[in-house]
Parts: sequence; structure tokens; C-alpha cells
Amino acid sequence: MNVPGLKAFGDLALGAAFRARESAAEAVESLRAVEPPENGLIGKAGELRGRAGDLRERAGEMRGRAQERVIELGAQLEELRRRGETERHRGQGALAQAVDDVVTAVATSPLVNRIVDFQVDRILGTLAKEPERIQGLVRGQRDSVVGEMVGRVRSGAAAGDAAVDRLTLRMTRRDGAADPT
Amino acid sequence: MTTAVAEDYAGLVSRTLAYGADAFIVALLTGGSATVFSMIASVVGPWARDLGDLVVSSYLIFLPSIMAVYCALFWLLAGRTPGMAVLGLRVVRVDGSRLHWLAALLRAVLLAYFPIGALWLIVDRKYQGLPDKVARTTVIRVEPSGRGEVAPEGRIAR
Repeated sequence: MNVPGLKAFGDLALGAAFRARESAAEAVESLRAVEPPENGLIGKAGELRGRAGDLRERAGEMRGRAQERVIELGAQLEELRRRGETERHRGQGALAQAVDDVVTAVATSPLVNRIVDFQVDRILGTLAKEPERIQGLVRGQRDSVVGEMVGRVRSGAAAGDAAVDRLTLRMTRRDGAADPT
Repeated sequence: MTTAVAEDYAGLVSRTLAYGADAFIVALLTGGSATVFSMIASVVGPWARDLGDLVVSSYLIFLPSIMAVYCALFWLLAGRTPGMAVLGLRVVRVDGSRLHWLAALLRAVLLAYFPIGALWLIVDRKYQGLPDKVARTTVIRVEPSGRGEVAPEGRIAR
């Protein structure tokens, strides 16, 4: 390879370098010439983000309205329940009053009065003829009441004795059945 | 010759309740009597009023004596006081027979004037307090109480 060849190669390299610098400058210029962000993809993303925000706000508003509606429905249901309870109580009271009226009317009717008078006279006549029946009944009732009370007293006392026995056995090791001394 | 089982003897609680009931009865009767006597004496005259005051003031002193006579009489005649009858208890001699008058009186006097001696029944094998030891008696159950079988009179024997 001769010297001019080398010089031409150097020029070539130098020219390539300048061309590369110019290409780079053109590329930079072309990049600078790109559309501003508001009109590009970033702008689109921002626009979409804005719409998403709007949609979110609308969704929040709809959720709030739905909650308010649910609360209103709960209040209406509670009011209906109270109304039903009130009506039920009123119906029961009216039914009880009606039953009382019917019973009072039946009990104070002349026919029932005659029947009761007749039965009372019959029972009193029976008791006058056979007083020992009612006397035995009263005596048996009295004896059973007294016997029950006495039985309770005795059972309680026996339980107390057993408790004292256990306590003293634990303290003195007394055993009447096992220890003959 | 039978052997007494522990369930036949009356314990501390039953006997204390019975004695308390008897003491209440005696106090009620003697207190009422003393009150009525004092009221009558206050109307009769000065000497009767003085006698009424003496009776009322000595009421507490003679109360144990009255209690002793009350217990001795009931034990001698029925083998039990009203309080013991309520609790289903009976006083018998250690061989199961009925009390003699001397044993009843001795036991009653000791129990009225030295009731704390009866606490010996807590540690005694036959549930005998000091009056029981001296009078050779014991207290048994004669009515079913739910704790054991019926202990008829005379079952306790040595």
C-alpha cells in the first residue's frame, strides 16, 4: 500500500466522520421535529387517564347514590316492621278483649248462673251429708305439708351432720366402723 | 348383740338444731309467763310489784334450771323433747334402753349449765358429748332422714 493510498483512506475516514456527524445532527433535528407530547402517545395516555378519572368519579357518585338508596330501603323496611308489630299487638289485644267479653257474657248469663247455683247447692249438700270427706282431704293436705317441711329440716340436718363428720374425720381420722377403740 | 352403725347416731347439726328449738320454746314460754306475771303483779299491789320485779330479774338466772327440768321431763316421759321430735332424734342409754330419771336429770343439768361439754361428740366415736358420757346415754335417729336406714329404738347395743 502506497502513501497516497493511505492519505485517501484518511480522507475517506474523515469524510465518513463528518457525514456521520451530519447524519446525527439530522437525526436530532428530526427527533426535535416530532409532534409535541399533547398530540402524541403520551397525550393519548393522558387523555385516557383523564377519562378514567372521570369514569371513576362517576362510579363513586353512583356508589354513593346506591348506598343512599340501600339506607332508604332499610329505613322503609324497618318502618314496615314496626307497623306490622304494632298491628299484631293491636290484633292480639283486640282478640283478648273479645275473648274476655265473650267469657264475661257467658259467665254472667242467667243460664250459667243457674247451673253454678245448682252445682254449688249440690256440693254443699254433699259436704253437709258427708263432712268426713272434706275433713280427710284437708287433714291429708295439712299433714303432707307439715311432713314435707319436717322432712326438709331433717334432710338438711342430716346433710349438715355428714359434712361435719367428713370434716372431723379429715382432722381426727375418726372412723366408727373401722376403729373399735 | 348388734353393732351400731355410724349413720344411726345423730350428729352435731341435728342435735344443735333440736336443742335450739327446745331453748326457743322454753324461752318463749318462760318469757311470756314472766311478762304476764309482771303485768298482773303491777296491778295487784306494791308487794306483788316487788315480787314481779324479782321474778323478772331472776328470769335469766333460772332459765337454765327451767330448761333442765323441761328436758329431763320430756326425756323421762317420751325419750325426746319436742325439738328432738321434729328432727327425728331420741335419747337412749348406750344399751338402747330408755333413760332412768337420774340419768335424764343428770344429762339435762349438765347440758343446761355446761352446754359446751356436748361438743365432745364431734370427736367421739359414738357421738357422745360430755353429758352423754356421764349419763351413759347417746342420741340416735329414729326417723328416716335420707342419710341412712331407720334406726328403731333399742337397736343401739354394746
